[in-house]
Amino acid sequence: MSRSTSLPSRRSILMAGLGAAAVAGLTACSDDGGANNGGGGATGTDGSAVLPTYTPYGGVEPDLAEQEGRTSNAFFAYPSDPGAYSSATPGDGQPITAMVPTAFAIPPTMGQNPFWQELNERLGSELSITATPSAEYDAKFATTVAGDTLPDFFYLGAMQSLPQFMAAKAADLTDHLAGDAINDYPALANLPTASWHQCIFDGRIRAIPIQRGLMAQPAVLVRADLLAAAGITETPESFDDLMALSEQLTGGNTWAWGSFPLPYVRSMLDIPGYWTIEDGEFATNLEDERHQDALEAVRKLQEAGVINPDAAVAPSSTRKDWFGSGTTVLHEDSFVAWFSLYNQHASVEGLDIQALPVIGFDGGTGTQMINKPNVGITAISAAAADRVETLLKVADYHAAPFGSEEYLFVHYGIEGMHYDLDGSDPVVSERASEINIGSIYISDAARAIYSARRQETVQAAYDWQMQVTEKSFVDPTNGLYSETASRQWSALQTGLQSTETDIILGRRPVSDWPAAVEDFLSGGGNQVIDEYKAAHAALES
Amino acid sequence: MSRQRRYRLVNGQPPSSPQMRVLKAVVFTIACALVLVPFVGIVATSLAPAAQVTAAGGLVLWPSSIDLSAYRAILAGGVVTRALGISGIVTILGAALSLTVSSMLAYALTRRALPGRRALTMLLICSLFFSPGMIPTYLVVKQFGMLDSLAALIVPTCLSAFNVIVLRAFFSNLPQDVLEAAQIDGAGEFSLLGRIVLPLSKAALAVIGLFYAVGYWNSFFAALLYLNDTSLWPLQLVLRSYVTNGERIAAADMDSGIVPPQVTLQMAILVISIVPILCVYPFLQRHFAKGALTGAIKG
Amino acid sequence: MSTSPSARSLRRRLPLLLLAAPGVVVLLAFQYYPLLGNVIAFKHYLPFLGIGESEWVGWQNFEVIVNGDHQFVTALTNTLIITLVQVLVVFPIPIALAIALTSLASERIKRIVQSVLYLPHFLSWVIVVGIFQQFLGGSGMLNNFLRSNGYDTFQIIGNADLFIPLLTSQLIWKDAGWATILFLAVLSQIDVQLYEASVVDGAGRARQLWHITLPALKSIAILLLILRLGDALSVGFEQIILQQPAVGLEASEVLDTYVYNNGIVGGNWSEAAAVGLVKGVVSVLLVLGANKVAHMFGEDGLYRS
Repeated sequence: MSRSTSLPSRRSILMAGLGAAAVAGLTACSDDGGANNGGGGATGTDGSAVLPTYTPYGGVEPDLAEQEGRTSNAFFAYPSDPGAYSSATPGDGQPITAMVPTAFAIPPTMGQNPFWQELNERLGSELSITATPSAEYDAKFATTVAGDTLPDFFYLGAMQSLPQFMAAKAADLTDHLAGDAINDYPALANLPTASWHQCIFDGRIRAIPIQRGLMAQPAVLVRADLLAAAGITETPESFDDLMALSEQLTGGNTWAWGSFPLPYVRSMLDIPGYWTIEDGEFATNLEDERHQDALEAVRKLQEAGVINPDAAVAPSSTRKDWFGSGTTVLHEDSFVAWFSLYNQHASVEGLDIQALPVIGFDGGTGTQMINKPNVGITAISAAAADRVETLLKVADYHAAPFGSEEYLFVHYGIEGMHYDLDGSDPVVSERASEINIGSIYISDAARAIYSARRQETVQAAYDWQMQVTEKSFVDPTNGLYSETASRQWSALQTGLQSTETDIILGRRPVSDWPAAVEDFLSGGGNQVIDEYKAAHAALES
Repeated sequence: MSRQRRYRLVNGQPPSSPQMRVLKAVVFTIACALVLVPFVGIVATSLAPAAQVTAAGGLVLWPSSIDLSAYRAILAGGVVTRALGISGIVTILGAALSLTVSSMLAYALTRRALPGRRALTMLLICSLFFSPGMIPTYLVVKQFGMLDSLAALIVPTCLSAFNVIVLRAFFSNLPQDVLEAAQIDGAGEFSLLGRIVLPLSKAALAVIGLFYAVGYWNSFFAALLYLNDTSLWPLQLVLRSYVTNGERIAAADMDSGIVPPQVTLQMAILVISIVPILCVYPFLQRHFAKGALTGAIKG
Repeated sequence: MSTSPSARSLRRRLPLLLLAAPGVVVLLAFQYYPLLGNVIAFKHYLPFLGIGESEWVGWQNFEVIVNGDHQFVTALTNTLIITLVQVLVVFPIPIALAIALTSLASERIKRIVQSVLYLPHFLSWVIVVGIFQQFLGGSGMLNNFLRSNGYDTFQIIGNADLFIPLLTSQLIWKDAGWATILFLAVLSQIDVQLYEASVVDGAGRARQLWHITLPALKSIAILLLILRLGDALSVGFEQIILQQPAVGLEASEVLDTYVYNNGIVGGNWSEAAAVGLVKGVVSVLLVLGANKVAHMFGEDGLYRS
């Protein structure tokens, strides 16, 4: 049996590539409407002066070491005999409250939940968490704010006039976290600098990042086992190659793509996202003609019938199902889905997932999009300002670095109950869902690439990151705030996206695009750009 | 009874013509098939093994073998079982309260002697079309001190203007001479309602009761907003947390345990949330039997 | 010593007032009192400032409704067309079903059919849309079957021309069975003796239907129709928004989706309240108008003063 696990790292380089499509999917989860809670705080005051000092955790040695902006730390196995990163008990004996979104099934309540009880024990405070299904978090957050009943910790939901909100309701953490002061909280100090930009509002630190780093990049995942079965060994090197490959993969009830790969094609054309930095100034690339080339290219894919005919309606969960069943072979998602899809489709024999490199439209390489590094931010209530030090210690505990004993506990639970050790790797048990109490949205460790007993995938993923970040574009709105965006972004984006879909599906000609861009700009887009421009200039100065 | 009939009447109606009967059989068979095929798919998918569901990339119409892991995953830990109990309590108490309040109001609105009858009717109708919005309602619920109590799931929504209007229409259609006769015999409004109107309106009460019950059973948003204590969460909200639409905001855990496919879980959840309601049907359908009215008036 | 007329009338009225009181209190406390919060339609409401502290902005939030852009007109037109189709096509189906169900001879079959037809009501729109896609979509079971057997496929989902028929069939599939309940309740209250007497008079099924069954259903049907007209501006938001990308906005934009797509929900509380107020006023006017028309035809309609 020629299983396709032989040379994963080589193959990952062979099929390197990118799919920025997942940008939409990713932002759709919690910070729906993009800018609402995605945009951080630079609004004219220089925030960089208060940035915390980054001190990476030195307690463990990664198998593949991170390089800033290129790749995350990667581990082939969980460090053996993990030590505690700190010995102090963070809590003060008083109860602590928190509200967070969750993407998990509701776990047993505190009274029936040994993990929760053990956590309280270790924290030295009773931690009450109200976890809300993520799709409804914004509603819960808005009513809680309106009712003035914010708990000690709150994850930021959508909110207009965010800087004013933060100034009114979130405790000022600057004195505790700015510069070297963060060294009192070594796990928080292990969060990379880029993550903190989003937490600074009018020059003050008012939140803690929930960091995902490079895990949030878009990727085009490939069923390498199906490619091998079809005898395909060549990696596409241009759009024409990609088109040919797509046609080769399509036939009968199978299609190459499960979505319109517009973000990927934009990356191929070096115009990932809508923004650009020109001569140090924030600007948009929407008027660039390459956008029309991208639309034309995806329209051709659609016309060639290589995209699943239900791509426009299918929710992302259905697309994941298609990928698992082999109905589609190329799948746009986030980087981290590489691993979760292995779990989800564990019943598929010989499953081999790889990721495409970002190829250039006419050869060479395209530009990978690097999304904002945080999935969200969590603040401490201004009403709890007198307990800030205790609460920061609790946050610090939850951010315990990968490789520590605390990380193992917070993310995997109690040994013998929620996981068993295979060597040094935790293997989750049926009760593992008990630990999803939402504590990891209070704060979280800096992410590392690690998946128990998947050394080859870890290596391939690390290599892929290294490869695609060779030429990448970091979302410049990280840490920028635009009031107009916070009010109008979703409407503006809907206008553009419906035009994109109309063009791809052949309902409107590509030549309609400039008019749609014009509508976008005059309808508020120009204001958004001006506000980002000012915020960007302030951040850079 | 003068004329001899050669056929048996069904509910007072002569039997349909053969063509009509065939047509009805065909229409109902097709209608039921159109409904049942997807539902067989739902049940089958909830029971199918992961490999089959993954290979199908979606619904399967028949499980290759029975695999209960989706149900096990959902029922583990007792969270769903407790939520089921809470939903049951909320539904029963809520429907009872709603039915009481609504039938009292609906009856009062049928009586000409009610002061301000027209104004109250308009008040009711307008409330159908103006909605107070999520935040103001939350603030009022908070003001009444109902946050974190089951009352918040029942009291604010215990009156549906639509249901009151429909009930009132039913009540007005009752034979008024019966009411008048009772009134002449000295019956007060309470006993008119309790002894005549309600007993004569069993079918209507059953329907409106079902509407209310289904409303309470399906609602999750009130619980989401008003209850911070997850141990009070009703079934629909708990089940909702199992089906995450799209990505996990986590985008984090590369190492989550192996769970049944999302579709399987979703379908198992549907089955769990629909079956209890199905069990209620037979009790309600009793009240739809013909002749209830005739019997009541004669008796 | 005789009681005064007013005291006597109070004695008659008090019980009625007591009966109405709980319902009216709930209505006032949880509908009308929070409705005062709709004052935010004239403010720029920010939850952390509170209703009182938020800034007044006059009619600014209403601009979105009257700016008259092309999209809005499309949305309005589509909404009205869909309402019309639903009133003409969807509305009569449960009535016909209920009549047919009642005429079934076997009580057992009747109950089974009823229970089966109620089922789809309990599925959310996400699931219903998903099921339609799984069966009828371009990569659904039907088309996959046709494709693997070398036949041409049907483009049902994602076909702008078929969008309204698709919406309509989904709605019928989901709710037609459930909607029979009210009519069944009415039918069950018809005095069987009426039918029996008409048979004695030589009436056949058709005449019974025309002279007994339909008149019995008339008042509830008219009532429901008037309420439906009041909702003329709201058509299946969730159902439509889920399927919009496949057919494009031109074919599928309705008022509720227009409001949503223009960012008026989710955070823009004030504009959402403004839209809600306008829709409410329109609905009430429509209902009052429809009610007047019903009165002209000698029907009670929604209420009779």
